[in-house]
Amino acid sequence: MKKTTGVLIASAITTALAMAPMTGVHAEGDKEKCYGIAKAGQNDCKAGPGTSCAGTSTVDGQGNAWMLVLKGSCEKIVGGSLSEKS
Amino acid sequence: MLPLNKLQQLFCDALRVPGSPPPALLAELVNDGLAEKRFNIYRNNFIVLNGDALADMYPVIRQLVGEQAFRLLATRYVREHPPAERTLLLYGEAFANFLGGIPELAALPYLADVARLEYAWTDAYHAEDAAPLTQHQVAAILPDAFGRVRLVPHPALHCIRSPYPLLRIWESNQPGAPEQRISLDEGSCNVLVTRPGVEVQLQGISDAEATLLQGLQDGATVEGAVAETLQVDPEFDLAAYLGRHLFDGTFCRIRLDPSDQDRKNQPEETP
Amino acid sequence: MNEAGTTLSSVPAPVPARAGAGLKALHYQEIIERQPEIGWFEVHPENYMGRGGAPLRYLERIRQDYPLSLHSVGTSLGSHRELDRQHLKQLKSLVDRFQPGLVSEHLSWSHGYEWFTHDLLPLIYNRESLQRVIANVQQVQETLQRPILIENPSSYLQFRHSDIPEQEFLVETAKRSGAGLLLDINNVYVSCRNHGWDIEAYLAAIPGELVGEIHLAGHTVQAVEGVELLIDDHGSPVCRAVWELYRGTLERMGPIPTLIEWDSNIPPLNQLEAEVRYAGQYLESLGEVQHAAAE
Repeated sequence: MKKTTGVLIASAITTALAMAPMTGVHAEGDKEKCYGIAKAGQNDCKAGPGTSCAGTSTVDGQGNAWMLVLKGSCEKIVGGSLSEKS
Repeated sequence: MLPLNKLQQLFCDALRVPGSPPPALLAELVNDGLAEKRFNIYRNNFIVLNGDALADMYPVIRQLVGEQAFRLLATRYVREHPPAERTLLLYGEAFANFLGGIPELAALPYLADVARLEYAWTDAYHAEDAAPLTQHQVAAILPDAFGRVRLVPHPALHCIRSPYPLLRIWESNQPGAPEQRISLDEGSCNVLVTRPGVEVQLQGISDAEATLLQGLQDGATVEGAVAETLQVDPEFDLAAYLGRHLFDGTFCRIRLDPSDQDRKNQPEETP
Repeated sequence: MNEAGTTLSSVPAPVPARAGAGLKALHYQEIIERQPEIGWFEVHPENYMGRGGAPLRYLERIRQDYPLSLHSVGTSLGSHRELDRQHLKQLKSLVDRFQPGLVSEHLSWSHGYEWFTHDLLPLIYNRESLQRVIANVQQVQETLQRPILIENPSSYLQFRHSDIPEQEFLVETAKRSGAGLLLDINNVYVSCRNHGWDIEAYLAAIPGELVGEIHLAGHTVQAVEGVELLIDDHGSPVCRAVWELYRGTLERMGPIPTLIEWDSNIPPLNQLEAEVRYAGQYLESLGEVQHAAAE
C-alpha cells in the first residue's frame, strides 16, 4: 500500500459520494404500499388446543415421546466435514 | 387454603412439567373427577401458544427439521426457557444456543447460525425507526476529515458471520423458493441484516467487509476500522464498500471525533 | 356508564356503539386499501410494544380511519406480584400515541414468577384476590389517567376455596375501582357450561350501566370422559346460543360497542366483515325497537 490510510479514505469517500445517486433518503414509495411485511402479532387472548396432549407429553429425554425424527429440507443440505460424524 | 402467592407459584411450576400435576395443586382444585384434565387445558395452552410464537420466529428452522421435530424442540424450549418478557414479539432469543446443545442435531451444525439469522431478522423488524445516513450528512464532512469520524450503526443492523452458506440456506427455505441442493463445502458467509425503511433486507458481505463493520460497530473511527481491515485483506476495496453500504441502512448517523465536535460547538475558541 | 363515561367521551375518537373487529396483521393491507364497513378495531397493545417498524406503522395508518380499542393481555391484574411499572409505562405511551376510545384488560393473571405464561390463567375468587385485583386496577388507572374495562375470562377449572361468584367479583371490582366492565358473552357461555353455572343468573347480576364493551367469539366443544368442555379458541363463527344471549343482553342494557374476536383459523376479511355486519344488525334492530317504544 503506497497511499496512507487517510488518503485512501478521502479518495474512497469522494468516489462513493460521486457514485451514489443524489436522491436523498431511500424513497418510501407508494404511501399505501410501503408498510412492509405484516408479521403476525404474538400475544392473544384465545385458548390453544384445549384437551389435546400438547403439554403433557414427556419430551425431557426420559420418556418415549422424545424421538427427534428430522423430516425437513435439511435433507437437501449436504457435505461439510462435520456431517461426517453422523 | 394456600395464600395467593403460593397457589400461583404452584400453578406456574406445574405448567412446565409433564405428567400428573402435583397433589398439592390438585388439592386446591374443585374435584369433579376431571380436575387433572381441566388443568391440562392450561398446560396445553402454555406449551402451544408460546410454541406458536417460536414457530413464527423460526420458520426456516421449522422447514429444515420438519413440523414434528420442531414441535418437540419448541416444547422443550418453552419449558426450559419460559418467556421472560410481557410481549412475545422477540421470544426465543436463546433458541440458537439451545439448538446447538441438542445432541441429535449435531449433524446439522448450521442450525444455530440459521436461528441467529432468523432472530436478527425479527429484531430488525421491530427495531427503532431511524433514517439511513444521507449523502448530505456525508458531504458535510471534508474528505480529509472522514477518517476521524465514527459511523453510528442503524438500530436495525445485524451482521451474522457463519462458516456455512447461511444466506443460501435461508433463501432456499423461503416460501416459493425452488428446491435446491446446498453443499456446506460452499463455505462461509456473512449476512448483513438491515431495515432502511420498514422492509428487512438481507445481503451477503465479504470477510473483509464484515471485519470493517465489526470495527465500526465496536466504536472505532473510520481510520481505525480501515487500518484493521487492511491487515486482514490488503486488497480491500473501500470505495466499493462505501458505494454499496454507506447509504443502504447500515448506518444512520455520523459522530464527529470529540475534538472536532469541540471545535464545531465552540467556534469562538479562546486562543 | 357512571363516572368513567365522562372521561371516555372526552377522548378524540370514542368507540361507537357499533360492531367492530379484532385487527389481525393478515388483514392490514386490505383494510387500508378497501376501508371495510367495520365500526372500529381492537388490538392487544403487547403486540405493538416493539421499538418501531411495520406493526406500529400499520396501526398508525389504520387509526387514521377507524376508532381504536386497546385490549391488554399483559398486565396480570390478578397476579400476587407487584404490577410491572415498565409495562405500564409502555402501555401509557401507546395510549398517548394512539388515543384509543377504550382500554381494557382481563380478570386473570399470567405472571407467576420472573417469567410469563402468556396465557390468561384462572383466578381464585376470595377476599385476598379481590383486594389484590382492586389495588392493581387502581394502579393501572392512575398510570393511564383514565378508567379501564375489566373482562370476564373464560375458564376451565375452579379453585376449591373460591367463595365469591365470578359475576359478583367482577361487579365488586368495578364498583370499588371505578372501572367499567367488558362483558364477553362467549366467555360467560363457555365458563358457565364448563362449571355448571347458571348463565341467566350470571348475566342478570351484571348491571348494564357498568358495561362499556361486549365481546363475541366462537368456541369449540371437546368431549372429556363423556363430559363436554368448551374451549375458547376464537376460531369459528359465534354460535346460535351466544347470539341469543347477546340479543337479550342488548335488550336489557341498550346499545353497547361490540367486538367480534377471531384469532385462530382466521378467515378472509370479507367473512369477518360479514360476522361484524351480523352483530351490527342486532345493534340496529335494537335502535328501531327503542325508537318505536319512544314513539
